[in-house]
Amino acid sequence: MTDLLDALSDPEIPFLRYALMVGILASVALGIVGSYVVARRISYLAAAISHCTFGGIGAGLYLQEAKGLAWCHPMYGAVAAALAAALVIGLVSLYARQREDTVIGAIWVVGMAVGLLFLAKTPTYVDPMSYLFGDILLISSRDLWIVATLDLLVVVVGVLFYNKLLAVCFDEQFAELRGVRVKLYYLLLLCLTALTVVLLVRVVGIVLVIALVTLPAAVAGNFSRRLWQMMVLAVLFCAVFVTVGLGLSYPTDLPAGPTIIVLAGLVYLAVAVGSRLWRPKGA
Amino acid sequence: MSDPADIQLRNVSFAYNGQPVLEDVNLTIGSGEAICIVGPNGGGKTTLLKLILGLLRPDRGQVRLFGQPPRKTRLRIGYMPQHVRHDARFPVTVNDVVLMGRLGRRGLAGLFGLYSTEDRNAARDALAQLGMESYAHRPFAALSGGQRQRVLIARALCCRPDLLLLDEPTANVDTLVEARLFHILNQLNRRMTVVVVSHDLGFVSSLVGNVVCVNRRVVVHPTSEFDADAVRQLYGEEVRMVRHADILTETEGDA
Repeated sequence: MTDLLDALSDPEIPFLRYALMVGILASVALGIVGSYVVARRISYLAAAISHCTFGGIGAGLYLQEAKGLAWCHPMYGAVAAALAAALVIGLVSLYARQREDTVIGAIWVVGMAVGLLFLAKTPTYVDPMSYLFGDILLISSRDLWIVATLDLLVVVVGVLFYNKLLAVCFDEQFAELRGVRVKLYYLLLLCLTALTVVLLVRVVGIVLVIALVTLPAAVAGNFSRRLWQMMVLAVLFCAVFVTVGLGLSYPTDLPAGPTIIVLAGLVYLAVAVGSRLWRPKGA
Repeated sequence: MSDPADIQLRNVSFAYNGQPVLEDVNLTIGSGEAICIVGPNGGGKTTLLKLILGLLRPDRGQVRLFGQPPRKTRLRIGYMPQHVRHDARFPVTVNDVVLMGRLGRRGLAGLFGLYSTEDRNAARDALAQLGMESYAHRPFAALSGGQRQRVLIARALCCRPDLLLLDEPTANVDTLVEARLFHILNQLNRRMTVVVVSHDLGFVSSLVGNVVCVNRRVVVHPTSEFDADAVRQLYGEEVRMVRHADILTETEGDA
């Protein structure tokens, strides 16, 4: 552990500090949005949005490298693609007369395929693995600023509209009858989800981030009777998973993303099994 | 009174994908009435309800709620759905659920859905009316079916409505709770119009003035005339009704 503390204060390796800061900042958004996603049971949609993000990352890299648009950071592409995917997937799930899961599955893979096509046409070689599964070596101070800004936005909106989002998640029809524009708030929730999955692209990647949207909230759900309690606990669990995961991965030279996810998965499993065994006595 | 009727449907027809569900419906429900909507499953009860609530638009004809299109006036309705669809483990307390009846105000507080002290008082009153005040801080998911139903009625009351619209309030409750519910609805009817959807024909005789029979077409009977003939017409087959004291139960003949 002293290794880790030394590493964190070492000016030669700023990426570890950045990774920890990004992880803890993102935990706040992940806990809040993840609780909405888990309670409303739309983790499947969140996963589709997150995979589509790859299309935007590919486009960003392509424009940056092949077209010389230096400002076109892949993170901007990721944000744009995530928001576009959220709106398309949201509209499909609201209005589609087709089989919803089929359409969303299609959007999911097309988004990824587009990303790979862009990468294939990008002159400098980019390893898609680093975006799919995260690579903390790539985190820059600029990423930190993007993450901090998005995080603030998601948290402010997610907290301000708490009562309305709660009502929409719990009983859409009743909320509509109370004059809440439910479709608008549903799309808002998906857009918040989109921005949230982008936050951790660098640390855990777009494939693994879904675990950090759902698992901390799912663990927290076992200990909460109200949605805001679930959010607070989910933020804490998420921050602990990221911190401990990074702490375990650095001295053992394991990749950070998968370490964090395996840790979250094990805790989820333990809590799920534990609450099963515990409950009959308590009830 | 010159006030428009609470609910008025004129020549309303509605079809799902070309399948007619309701045809040429004319219905007027006046202020202060107590009405029961009955009919077989798939007969169009829910569709009728959704038309009244403005969740569906009629293919033909006109729906008026307090004299205006439903979307403009439906905040005056307290609606209790048959069930809430989502996750059985959804993390809300009883009080959280009832407070949702206070959404839909204007202004900044309305935009963010903030609740005032008055809103919290309204929620407490509504729970007290249904004898559920001691459950306010319990998780909604931990309640029994009958308790949940009472909480959903409390949420409808928390809207401070002029019209109470209950979809199958007796679906999950035993006879004792049902009797209690009749009593509560009777009291509420002194202050507001009460419309109940039920497949439970016993409900009809004990509470309401008029019975609205829905099976693609809509026929209104005064309760006193709602007899075996009317039931046979409605269900299109023999329905055996057994009278136990003042509670009617029905057993359908083999279809």
